Amino acid sequence: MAVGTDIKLAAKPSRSRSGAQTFLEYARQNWSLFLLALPGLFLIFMFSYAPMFGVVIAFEDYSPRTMFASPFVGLRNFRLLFESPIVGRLVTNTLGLNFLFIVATTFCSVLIALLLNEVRSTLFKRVAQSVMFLPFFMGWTIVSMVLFGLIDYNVGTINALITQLGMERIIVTDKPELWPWILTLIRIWKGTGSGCIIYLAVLVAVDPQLYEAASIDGAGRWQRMRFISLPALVPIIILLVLLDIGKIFYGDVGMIYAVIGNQANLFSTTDVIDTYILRALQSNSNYGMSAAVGLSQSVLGFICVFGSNWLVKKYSERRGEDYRLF
Amino acid sequence: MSRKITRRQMLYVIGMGTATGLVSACQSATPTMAPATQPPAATEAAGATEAPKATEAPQPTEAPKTGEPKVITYVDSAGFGSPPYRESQDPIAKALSEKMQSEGINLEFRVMLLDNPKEKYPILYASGTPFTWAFDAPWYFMNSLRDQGHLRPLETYMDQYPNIVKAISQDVIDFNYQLGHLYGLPTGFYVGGGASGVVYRKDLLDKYGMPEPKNLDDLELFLAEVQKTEKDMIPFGADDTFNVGYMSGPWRKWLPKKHGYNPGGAMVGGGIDDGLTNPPKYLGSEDLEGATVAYERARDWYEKGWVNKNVLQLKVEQTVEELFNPGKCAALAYNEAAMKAELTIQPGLQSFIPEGKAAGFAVEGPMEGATIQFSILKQWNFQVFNSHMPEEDTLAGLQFFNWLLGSQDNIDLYLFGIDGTNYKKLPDMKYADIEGVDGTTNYRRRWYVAGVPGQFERVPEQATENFMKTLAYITDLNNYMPNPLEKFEPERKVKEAELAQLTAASKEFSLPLAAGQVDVKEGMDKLTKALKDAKRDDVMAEFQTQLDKWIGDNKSEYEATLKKAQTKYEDWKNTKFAEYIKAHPEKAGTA
Amino acid sequence: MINRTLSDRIFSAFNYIVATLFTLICFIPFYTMVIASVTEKRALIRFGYQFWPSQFTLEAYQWVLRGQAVLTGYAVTVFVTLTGTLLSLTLMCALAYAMSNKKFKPRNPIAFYVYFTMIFSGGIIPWFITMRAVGLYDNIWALIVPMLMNPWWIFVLRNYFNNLPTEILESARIDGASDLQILTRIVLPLSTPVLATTALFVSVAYWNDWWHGVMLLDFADFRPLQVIILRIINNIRAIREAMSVPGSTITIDMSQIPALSIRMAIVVVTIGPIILVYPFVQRYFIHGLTLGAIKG
Repeated sequence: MAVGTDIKLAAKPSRSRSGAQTFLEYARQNWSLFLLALPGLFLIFMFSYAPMFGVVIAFEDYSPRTMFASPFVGLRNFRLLFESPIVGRLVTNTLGLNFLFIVATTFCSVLIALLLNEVRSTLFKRVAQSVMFLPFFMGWTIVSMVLFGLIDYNVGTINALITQLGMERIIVTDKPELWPWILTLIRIWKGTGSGCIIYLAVLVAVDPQLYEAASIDGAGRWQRMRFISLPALVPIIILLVLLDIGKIFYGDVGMIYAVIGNQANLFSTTDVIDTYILRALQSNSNYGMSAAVGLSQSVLGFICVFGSNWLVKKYSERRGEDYRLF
Repeated sequence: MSRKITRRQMLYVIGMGTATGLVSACQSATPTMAPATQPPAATEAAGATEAPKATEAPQPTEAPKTGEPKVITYVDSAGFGSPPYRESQDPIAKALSEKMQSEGINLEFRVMLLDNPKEKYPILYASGTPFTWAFDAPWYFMNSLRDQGHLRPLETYMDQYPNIVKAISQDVIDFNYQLGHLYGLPTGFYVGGGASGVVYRKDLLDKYGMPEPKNLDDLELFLAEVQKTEKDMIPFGADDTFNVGYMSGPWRKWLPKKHGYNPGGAMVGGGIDDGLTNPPKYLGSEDLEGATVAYERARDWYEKGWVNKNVLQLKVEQTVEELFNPGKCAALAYNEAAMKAELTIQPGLQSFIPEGKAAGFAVEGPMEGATIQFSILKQWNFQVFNSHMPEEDTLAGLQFFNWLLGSQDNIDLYLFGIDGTNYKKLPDMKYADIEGVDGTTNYRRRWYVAGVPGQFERVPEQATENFMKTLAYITDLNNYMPNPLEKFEPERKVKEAELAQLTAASKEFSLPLAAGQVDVKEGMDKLTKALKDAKRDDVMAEFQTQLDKWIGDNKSEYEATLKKAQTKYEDWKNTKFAEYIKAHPEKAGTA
Repeated sequence: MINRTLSDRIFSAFNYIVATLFTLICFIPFYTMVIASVTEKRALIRFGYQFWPSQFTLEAYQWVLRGQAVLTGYAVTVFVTLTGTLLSLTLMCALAYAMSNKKFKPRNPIAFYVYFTMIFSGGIIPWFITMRAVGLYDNIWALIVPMLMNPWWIFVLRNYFNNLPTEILESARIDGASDLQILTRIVLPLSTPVLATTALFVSVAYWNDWWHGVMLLDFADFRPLQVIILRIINNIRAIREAMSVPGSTITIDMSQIPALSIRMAIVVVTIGPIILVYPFVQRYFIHGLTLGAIKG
């Protein structure tokens, strides 16, 4: 609540006469904006920047006695990932899976949001939306239990149906090529209901007059969705995709570990950087090496996001808008 | 605007109300928190009673004022069978402290519970959090923590604590030096390795009128019969740990001429071949004799449909609870199967199938004379001391162990809690559970995590004769050969990255082999290629150099032990094994 | 005209079908989970997931809810969630508003400053050391303060504020309104949908958080709900592990513990309160304040 008083104090000086803005006034206004931003910026500094000195351990033979002044070992810790014989597969899987996830979840969330937005019955809308939100709360362990309840060779529902139809049971866990798609489906199932909320929030704020005007011009509901609702979502879609791209080198270890676990015959398509490191360091815990891997993932993700941000900037400038991240 | 603020204020008020409620709830919920003895300045309760205010981080091991007991803090990596609840732990901690103080040892024992030990435990060291000692093991974090300098070497203090030395035994202490230092108190008991065995449905066996299986070949007859007779039953239930491969994996033990031996568990994807007759030499896993025996059996069983198809998807507990107990499978791999079948598995089975009976046998059949193994004096579990604390803190911790191991009463209190409340003391080192006490929250500390050698732990009153017999066998050094290489342990830091890569590669390609999911030849080729790609041969060459140097430095001791082992082996071959061959002529020529 | 209504009808039917199908796909696993939580443990293991419990029991819930710990846990979590969400929303809105203000020169460097923390982090050890150093250890603020600023939501808020009609803000400024007044009287009321969304996800994050409780509470004798639940799961796992490791002679009959149903009951127990509160939040993004209403 201390923040509130800060804001009030800060707001006072700018409460001056209206009219042309003198330089002084401009500075004062900036001053109040600074004060609004300051508490947040300070907290971010405390909890994100202050601990960042820790990245040095990626270049060190870390020991808590010497803490962050441990002996410098150059790039030795980076060997774990970059000299791994399967680094190519790891990067391909990580990027491939994340690409699938981003495209699929964005597409489905936007689609469901647009569809729900067009539904007239409020009750249906509310119930459907609430129910879709439920999977968001189910932990990956439970999701994996439900999944194997479906596809298990011995007791799975799908195999039970297949045998009733007189066909041979399928061993889904023997087919690595299926798993990127299965994982994507799970992601869609778990993330769509929660993902569409943010798009719905943007859609309810679209000026209804726009729809009315379009209606009068003879636009059907499909056209209104296509030419009014969808464009309204573009800025937020771009933002969220940009935010996701920064994490594109980080595998979703929580999900993949819970679902794939030790099923080594599926690693060829599902083993990502994070699961590999988890496996490699399981009995060889080493902070220097994990820091080195994390730093590499961050730098690569950062390059990607920088590139895409630049593209977005060019694209939005042509349209006279500003969709970039920073 | 005003409406908004009112709502916000209202929420704030609710929040504060909750906080107050919470504080009072905390106070009433844990009356046992306040220690009876004089607590030092910052106590555990401080955090709670002043919850909404930022309080100083408690310093559990801060220097005591005169007369006040010195606090020693034990980090309990909850996850090994002691209940992670303060209500369970605190009364015993208090009782221990009181007993100690009444006997003139001015210490206060305190337990730090970790809810997420696998992540939190190593961070405690790395961040300089104060505590005295913790449970650790080479298969846990001990090796890397040791290499990073977190663990205090104890060898120079041992003379001052006779009770510790007496309980653990000088032999065990001598054998548990790592890289020239004693980095923890080893928890000795068993001297035989190879705990793996098979638990099977004795009632089905009796139904078929078959004799009791004593090895895997016998078991196969039973499994075939199960497949033929029982519809909808999987003959052998397996998971990612307890599978066919687990029962005789090449890395698990060093049987003469059969499996690779891997000192310190340091090598991945290889081991030392033989050692009894030839000079010890590191070999890749594919070149070790008998490397594929377990995999071939796993593949065979898998193809015959004797094993469930989802082996790697299951976890240890699922095979027992979801396959064996409800009667969906007829056998499974288990540690100490002969001992545990009747003691721990039978009750679960009978809760589903009242007429069900579980029995087990050890895969290697040591008692039968089929094999002889090297003794294992190198221990799996340790109590390690935090090297970032002042020396007197470690000394206080050792003083605690010296006191603890000095009397069976102290040990009983530490392992079982209070007689009459947590357990019932019975004669002959047995105990009974108390009717109506909830086993899941009742205080217990297992000997192997508590730092108490196993012979000081009471056994359950239900323990069968078979149990006691096996226990006697695997704790008797005379039944095993001394291992001439046991004191050797390679320095692994030089090949850290390679070892991590090898661990990942080995897991990826050996798990499907152990489960029987892949063709053995193909799978072994893939495994070998992955290991070679991860520079296994470099690591092996490095370890070989270290081994040769070690043998050179310890020549006389090495040769003397080797001689003893060879004598013991010849002796066994001419007596027990000869008898075994008489009973099983088909096995001639296997030793 | 007829054509249009027909295509609209097809479109509408398509909408309902897709939405209903997806709703069902989301509902069925959840339903089976709830059923599993009230099915007798042996029946659950024997017959697997069912649409109706063959043997009904509340045993799993008795297991999860027994003792004072869960109640205290609820109290801690409710306090943390309410306080955290409120503070977090206040601070994030203030920052996001500054970042969205076109007059604010350093808004892009600040956006970069905020974004950078999303990708780069110093790792867990320096984080832990920092937390201890600033006193966020073994007290309730350790559960609240570290999670206050979430870059993801700061950007979402900034974007939303960015897209508000500038004319309204401009005219307010000309009328002499201060930034604080513009933020609280115009920007925030116009942003209820996104505020509700942010509040929802921030509070769910606080509600589900076990990480800070596990990492930053050692000797304090209160724990949030999630940690207490983690303990229940840990304890069951520990007993199971202790059964199978060499050297253990544990004699607890695991078949007496409804381990599987407990996992399911835990999900129900933790998300129950959220489901109760959800409809009140939901209305803001299902049919929130519309811009037109304010303009008019």
